[in-house]
Formats: sequence, structure tokens, C-alpha cells
Amino acid sequence: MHRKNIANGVAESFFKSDKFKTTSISVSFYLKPTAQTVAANALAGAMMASSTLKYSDTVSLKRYLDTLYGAVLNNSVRKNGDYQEINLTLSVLDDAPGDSGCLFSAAVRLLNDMIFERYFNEVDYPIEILEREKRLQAEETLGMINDKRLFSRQRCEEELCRQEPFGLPVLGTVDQIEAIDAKALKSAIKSIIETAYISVRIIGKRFYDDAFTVFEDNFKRVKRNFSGTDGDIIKPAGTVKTITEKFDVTQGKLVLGLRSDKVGTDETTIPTVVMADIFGGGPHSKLFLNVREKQSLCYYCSARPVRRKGIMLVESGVEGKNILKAKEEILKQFNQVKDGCFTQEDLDTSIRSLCVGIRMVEDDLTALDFWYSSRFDEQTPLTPKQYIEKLKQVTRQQVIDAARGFEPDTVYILEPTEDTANA
Amino acid sequence: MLKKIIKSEALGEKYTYAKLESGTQVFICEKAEFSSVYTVFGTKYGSIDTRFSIDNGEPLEVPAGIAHFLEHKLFENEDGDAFSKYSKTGAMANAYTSFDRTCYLFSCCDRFDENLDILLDFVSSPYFTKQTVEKEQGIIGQEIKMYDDSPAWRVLFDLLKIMYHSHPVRIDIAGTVESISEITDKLLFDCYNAFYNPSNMFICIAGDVDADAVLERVSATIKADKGVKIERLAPAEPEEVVSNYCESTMAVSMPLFNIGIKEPVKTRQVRQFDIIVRDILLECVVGKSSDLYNSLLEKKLINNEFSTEYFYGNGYSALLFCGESSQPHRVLELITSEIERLQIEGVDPELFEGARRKLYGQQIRQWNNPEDIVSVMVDSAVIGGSVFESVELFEQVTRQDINDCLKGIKKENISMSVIKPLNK
Repeated sequence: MHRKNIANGVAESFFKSDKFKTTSISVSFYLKPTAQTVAANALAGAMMASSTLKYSDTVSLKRYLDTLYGAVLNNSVRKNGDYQEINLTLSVLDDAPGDSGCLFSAAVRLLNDMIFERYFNEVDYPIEILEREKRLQAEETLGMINDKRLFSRQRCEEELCRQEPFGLPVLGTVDQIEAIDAKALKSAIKSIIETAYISVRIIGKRFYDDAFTVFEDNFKRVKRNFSGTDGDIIKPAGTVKTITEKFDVTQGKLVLGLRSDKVGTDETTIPTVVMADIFGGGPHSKLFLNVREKQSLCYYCSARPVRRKGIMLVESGVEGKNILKAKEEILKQFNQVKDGCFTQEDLDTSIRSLCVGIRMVEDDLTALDFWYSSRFDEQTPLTPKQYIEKLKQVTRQQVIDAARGFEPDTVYILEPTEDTANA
Repeated sequence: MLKKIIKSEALGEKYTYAKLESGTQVFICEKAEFSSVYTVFGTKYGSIDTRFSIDNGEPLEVPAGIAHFLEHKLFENEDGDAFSKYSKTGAMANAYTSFDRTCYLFSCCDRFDENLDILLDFVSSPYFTKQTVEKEQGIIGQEIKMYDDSPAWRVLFDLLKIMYHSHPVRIDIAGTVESISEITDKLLFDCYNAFYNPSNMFICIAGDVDADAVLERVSATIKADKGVKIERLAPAEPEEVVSNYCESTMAVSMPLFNIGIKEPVKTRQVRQFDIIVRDILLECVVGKSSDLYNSLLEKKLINNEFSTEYFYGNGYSALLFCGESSQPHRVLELITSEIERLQIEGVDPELFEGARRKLYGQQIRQWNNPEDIVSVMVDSAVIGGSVFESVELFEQVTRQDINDCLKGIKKENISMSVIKPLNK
């Protein structure tokens, strides 16, 4: 991975790999959102991806992407600890019929136009695009309820991290979205281009010197007002709070939010990753073997740590009448990990399984991009290979210590109404 | 053993195809540049195979969901479960059942031979008892309930129920809590013996492997058996749909809809060419570059959830349009009008070329990692034809093919299912 800073708070990276048939060009903006900015930040990314001055409506932009042999444009918004990450990615074929690098150059130009053209020329987006993207974002926010597993996780995160950026809905609320006007949008775009930490990543076999030059030239024209990145809010668990909401569903959801006060870098959290795997990772984990297989309480029951935040979420789908029983069993299994009730074989199994998962990151272009994107503020992020070496060194005592650092903080229960529970 | 190496100039790729003495088909793509190997051992047996006869015997009708149940149970052998064996090698294992196939898979970065042996062994060694079957009924019951709460899943099966009179595609892949309660160890053995015979199975591998060494290994393990003649006894399915509309309610934010256009099925299995024609057709009618898609967006009739799919398999073929809308009937009306317009005027040449290029690009992308490569090979094993056939067919398909396909669409065979929010 070749990485260099091209402006204040703007880094570019190139990861050369000959194994893929496409090259991915990705730009991520990282900001700590507030309730006032979270919706507008998300909308800013969608607006950038909607058009350029040349391809000024969605139809002409999509048709242009088709001519580039289906260049894939993705705009996503995700949580990266307390940071909100706004990402635009364009991926193009390396070898299309008759192509000699033209697709790649066209993609670089297009992505730059999306980000900078209107900003430099102070051209507003047409009001109909703004209203359309606001509607799409609001409907996506409302639609979260359709997937009860995702909805329950999000509700638990909200309750667990109230008053923290991580607890905000990543797209904002419907009210926040509806309140955005052209002026607020312009201000959000200016803010993310001028003040966000920005990472430009290219992964693939195609590399032309002028690719980064285009980005560098544009960022040189921006009056950057970046004041550095800072750590996330990490705090120990408080008194356990339980939130129960009733829904017309046949299967309940139980999400436990646990907290620890450990800082969330790779160096400090690798033992936590192993601990979470022994507790609720794959089919070899305590939760799978006991809560699912032995007791048939849940179809899924798993634990995963949240990078950077010192948080672990345990999610399960469980019948309404078994929710409390499942909760007790989950906590019982967790206490066993704390008490060191796992074998050396359990530890070895988890490390082996995690190592395979991480080695596979280098075989997947999207996963590889995500790997570096989620380590955006680390000057020398661990490569997957280096991470594996550290995983292999995790000891039994480190796993026990990691587990002992966590305590339950929030219990979110999505409970079936009585009618549906008895159906 | 029949063995050949198949190459694609366009892709710059090749793979080894072999048909073992036992009849099992093997597809191997050697990709030394990848760290991992992805492997599938599958059978051409899915949820739709609920009525069949073996060796011209009496017809057998089995409970819905049994293929999926069998998939769960095969992980358990007399000497322990496959997951615990894989936990010792570090491989990641899983399985899935769809309408027309059941696949067992693992991915690993080392100890490939050992992992392959585990796969071949557990899929070939059924072990079911009354007790283990009862335990699984509880777990699968939870899985069924999870899908019962999935609006996207429900709206699809609501649609299939009003499109198909008797084809088993109308029944949920996992069955129902009631249907799986009828499953016994004996029925599992009956289905296993019918569909897990080597000649009905396939192995697909992509990654850092040596094809000859793999072939030697699987040939030595998978022995020819006496052979089983399976006859799938799907009841005759009329060309017409059952009804054109149904609706129900769930806890959703806004109405969800699935629109389906039922097509007559002339052969049991669709051809790769038919798939490409319909994929391009869907792009031309309401793909993201089409005027209709953008008009639906501007009219606030669809959102980012909108998608299309060519839905096909043994004995069924349909074009699907899925999404969320405050006015699903208006979406149906506009899609129907657009199809009628295109039936007269034909598809736009620019849109056709754009769709062809875009879908060609998608085909190339499928060679980006071992898992996607195996997915293409599995499709080829089930549908037939070369793995590279679809890439080559994109060069041959014409606008006329799309227009001919459009002309075959009958308005009366369009159905729509809607799930409305509870409180509206």
C-alpha cells in the first residue's frame, strides 16, 4: 500500500493488485456528525453522485456509465466509530473491448467532476434533484423498519450511545432530512470538502501517474480548514437499561449492547476480536453451540465488536416467550468466557477461523477497500498479513482480560404483540 | 473420465471441466494469484422437487421444505458435525438451498485437501435419527419465523402463489412449521437416495489449486453407484396466472410490491441465451438508464429499493419488478404501458447497446474473486452450457431478439402482490 498526504487532511493510497479484472477508485469523507449535520452530510454524498455539469441529470449520467461497460458508481454512508463516512466509489473494467486505459481515465475525471465541479463553479443543484434525493433518503430511513434485524441493531446502538455521534441514525431522521434546503446543502458540501478528513484510494492493476495528479490539482484549489482527527467517545457501561418495543411480528429480536473502556485501535482490540469470536463468532462459538444448537432458542445468535468504540453487540432472533431465557443463557455463556471456561482448542479454533477470514480480504476488492477505509486515521495501518501475525500471538489471558473489560449496558427487545406471538 | 480445458479469449480465462466415471461434473478454475480457494459440492435438487419417482416406481410426494431440511441435517454425521471438523482446519463452511439446487461449500487458505475430504465425506454420509430430526425442527422453525417477518420475502411468495397454480415454486423454500413437522428420518433417506446420487451432483472449485491433483482426489472418493433414474413429477402448470392481484399487511413503512409477468415454459430448463435476452429486456424497459425508470422516480412512484430480475428455473419463467411505492397500481400501469409501447415500437438502439455493454461488464466482474467464479460455474452445472457461453452470447444477441421476446408478453399474465403498512 502506497500512501501519501496531498493536502491538509487529505491522503491518497494506491494498492496494486493484478488479481482483479476491475479497478476501484474510492473517495471517503470522514466527519464527526451532530444531530444538526448528520442528515445534510449524507445528502451531500447522494447529491455529488447524482450528476455533473456535463451529465446534468440522472439519465444522462447512467447512460454514460453504461457506455463505460457498466462502470459501477456507489454512494454509501456508513458509521466508522463516531465518524460518519460519506463514500463515492467508481469501479471500471481493466480490459474492455478496444480499451487501453480510457475507462480508468474517464472514471477518474468523472469522480472529480462529481466532487469539485459545482463546488468550484458555485453552481447549485437543480431543485428537483435536491427534492428527489431528500425523498429517497427519507424513505430509506423510514424503510429501516422493514428489516427487523437491522432495525433492532440500530435501535440498540441509539440507546447505547445516546449523546454520542455513533448513536445518531446514519442518514439522519425524516425531520432533519426534510429541513434541508439549497442553502443548507451547499453549506454541507462546503463543509465536507473543506473540513472532513479525506481518503482517496485506488485498488487494482491500473495505475497512471495522472490519476492522483487530477485529485491533487483539485485539492490544491480547496481552502482546507481541517483541524485534525480525534478519538471516539469510549466509556464504561452504566446501569443496565432495558428498552422493550412491541411489533406485529412472529419472531422477537434481542440485542444486548455491552461496553468497555478500552481504546479501539487494532493494537488494543485484537484480543477483543478473538474473545468475541469464541463467545459468538462462527459455528464453533459458545452462542452457536449452546443457545442455538443445544437449546434451539434462536436461529441466529452472534456477537461482534464494534471497531473504535469499545462496544460489543449480541444479536439474536428469538420467540417472544423465550426472550428472557435467551438473555440469561447469553449472559451465562459470556460469564463463562470471563471465567476462562474455554479450552486452548477453542482459542486456536477462533484464531484459525479469523485468520482465514482476514486472508480472504486480499481476494476481494471491496473488502480490501473497506479494510483501509475503516483504518483511515492510522498513519501506518496494519495490512491484513500484519494483522494475522498479531492475531496469532493472542493469549488465553488476554482473551479473559478482554471479556472482563465488558459489561452489559443496554438491552433492546423487539417483542411480538400477543396476537402475533400466539399465531 | 472425460476431461477438457475450456478457454475464453475475451476473458483471458480458462477452466478444467471433467465428468467423472460416477457421472459427477467437476469444474475447476486454477487461480494461483488468489490466497483462498472456494469450493462447492452441490446437487441439482431444490425446494421444487417435492414430487418424483425413482426408477419408474410409484410417485412419491414429500413435505415442503425437505430439501432445505436435508441440507441442515447433512452437516451432522455419526462421528460429529462437519462444522467441528472444519473448526480444526480453519475453513469457513456453509450451505444453501434454493428452488433448484442445494450447495455445500467451504473457503480456505490452506489445508485444501483435508477440507475437500471433509466436504466429500459429510455430504456422502447421511446420518439421521428421530432425535436429531426433532431437534432440527426447532431450529428451522425459528428460521421460518424469521422469514415470515421479512416483507421482501413475503411479498415474493405472495406473488408466486397468484402466478402459479400448482408448480412447487409457489411454496416457501424452507416449507412451513406444519410441513416440516411431517418430516421423518425415513423421508430424508428417500430424498437423499434419489437426489444425492453422483450423477446428479457437481463440484465447482476456484482458487489456488492444481486441477489434475483435485481430479485424482475426487475420482478416488466419489465412486459410481448403481445409478438412479429420477423423474420429476411437477404437475402441469397452465400458461395463465391464478389471479392478477393480492394484498396483505405487515409492519412496513410504505407499501411493497412485486409485479410478475408469467411466461410459458417450452423446455424444462431455460437456455443461457434466454436469460441474456431477458436481462437486456428488463434493462431496456425499466433499467436505471431508461426513461421509464427516471419518470417513475420523478413522479415519486419508486425509490432506491426498485429492482428487476429474470426469475427462472425448471418449469418456471417470469420477469419480476420489485420495489416500494405509495401507489403500486400506478407503477403497474406505467410498466404495462411501456411494455405495450415497446411491443409496437421496439427497443431504443442506444438503450439496447448501453444495456448490452453494462451486462457484459457485469459478466466480467464475476471473475473478480473465487466465490463469484464458483457461482458462475454452479449456474453452468445446473443450467447446462459452457461457463463462458454467456460472455460469448452478448456478442450475438440483437435488438430483434429483445423485440421478439417483448412480443411474447401477454398483459393478462401480469400479476402484482402488495404488502401494505398495518396502520394505513
